[in-house]
Amino acid sequence: MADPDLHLMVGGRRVEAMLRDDSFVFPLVLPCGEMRLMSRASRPSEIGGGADDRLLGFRVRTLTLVCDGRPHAVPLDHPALGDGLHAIEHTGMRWTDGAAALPEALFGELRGPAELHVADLALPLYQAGSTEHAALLARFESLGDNCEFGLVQRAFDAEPIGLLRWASTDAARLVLGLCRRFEGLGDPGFTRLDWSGDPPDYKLVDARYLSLHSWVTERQTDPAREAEMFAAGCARLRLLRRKILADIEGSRRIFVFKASGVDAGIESFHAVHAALRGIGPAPLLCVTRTGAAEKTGTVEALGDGLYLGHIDQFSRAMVSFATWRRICAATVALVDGESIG
Amino acid sequence: MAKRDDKAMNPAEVLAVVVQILESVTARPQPGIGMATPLDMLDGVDSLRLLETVALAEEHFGVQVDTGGLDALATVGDIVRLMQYSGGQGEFP
Repeated sequence: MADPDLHLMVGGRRVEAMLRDDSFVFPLVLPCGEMRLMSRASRPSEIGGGADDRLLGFRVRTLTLVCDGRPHAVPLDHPALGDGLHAIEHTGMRWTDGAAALPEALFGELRGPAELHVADLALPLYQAGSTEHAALLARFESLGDNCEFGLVQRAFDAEPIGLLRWASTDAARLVLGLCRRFEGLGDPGFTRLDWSGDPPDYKLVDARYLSLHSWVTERQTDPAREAEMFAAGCARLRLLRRKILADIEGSRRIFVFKASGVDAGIESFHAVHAALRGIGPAPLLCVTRTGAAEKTGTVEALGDGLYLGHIDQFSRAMVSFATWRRICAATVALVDGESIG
Repeated sequence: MAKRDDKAMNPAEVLAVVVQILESVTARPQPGIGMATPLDMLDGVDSLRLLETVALAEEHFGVQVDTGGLDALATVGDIVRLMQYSGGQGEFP
């Protein structure tokens, strides 16, 4: 396919480009935290494009922020650029790898409505189907504690179905759910439909185990319609319960638990791991925050299919997409290495 | 909607039920749906509404689908076939 699917991810939200004068233009309101310039990516060597074995996304010729009608050029050798970008070419252009970080430091003190202009070139062809990133991220399934990892998967075009992808839980409720094989999940007697959140949507709540988004953001005034939504939501929970149990039993996915707050300790990781093992052999990646820059993006194998990943920050507003991707790639290398071994 | 008494699943009948469920979970009419209609072309259908459709169809037909096939659903016909094969009419391709 020829479409590079160039877009920005800003705080977990996808921003589409407008094409204007050979540039892709993205509307923004600054400050907006870290952004990431996303696109499909392929290796030219795999699509008949020569010997280049690099994973190439989009070749950037110029990067310009227009604020108050004034252009502010961002030099492509800016020291804040690097994550998700290949080395600068002799032509002065720079390829992304499909997920280039655009840190806040690039935009200085600029504030208010702005436009990001990106030029210039996509690959002539991208591999059909899943990109490497999407295929990588689709090997994982979230166990919570919230939707951050689901957003990471979406940013890389991976949309696997999973019970806890759009759910909130914590280690205690997760362990209880796994130990009980989520018994009674989707039973109307244990479930309620809540209208909550900011921005609000309907959520299915089983107080024993989890709270789950429905992504229905329109408040219903008809009780009969709410009853239909509730019945459909309960049926969805029952189906997803069977799916997660089958995925763990069949080791179909690498499960990810994002551990924050009181859950960010080795005891919690071992508790989740033991509960998972009660069902099946699927690998478990626990991800926790680290203050040590050298540990960011690394993964340790703790034995028996338990892995510990380190990330710089957790945030649904400023997701560390590239670090999550590195952690996933490192985990897959360990898991596959152990499988082969 | 009434449950079927027999287990023989005619594709046209299964399709009619699936469309009816799709209209229920999306709370809007879904005209012109055929077996080849891509799921991502349906009005108001995201992955969660799709799961609800499969789950309610399972319960209507009294079958349990192989959950390993859920990630591969691309067309309305895939849901119909999932129901048929889960009802004992061979393996889901």
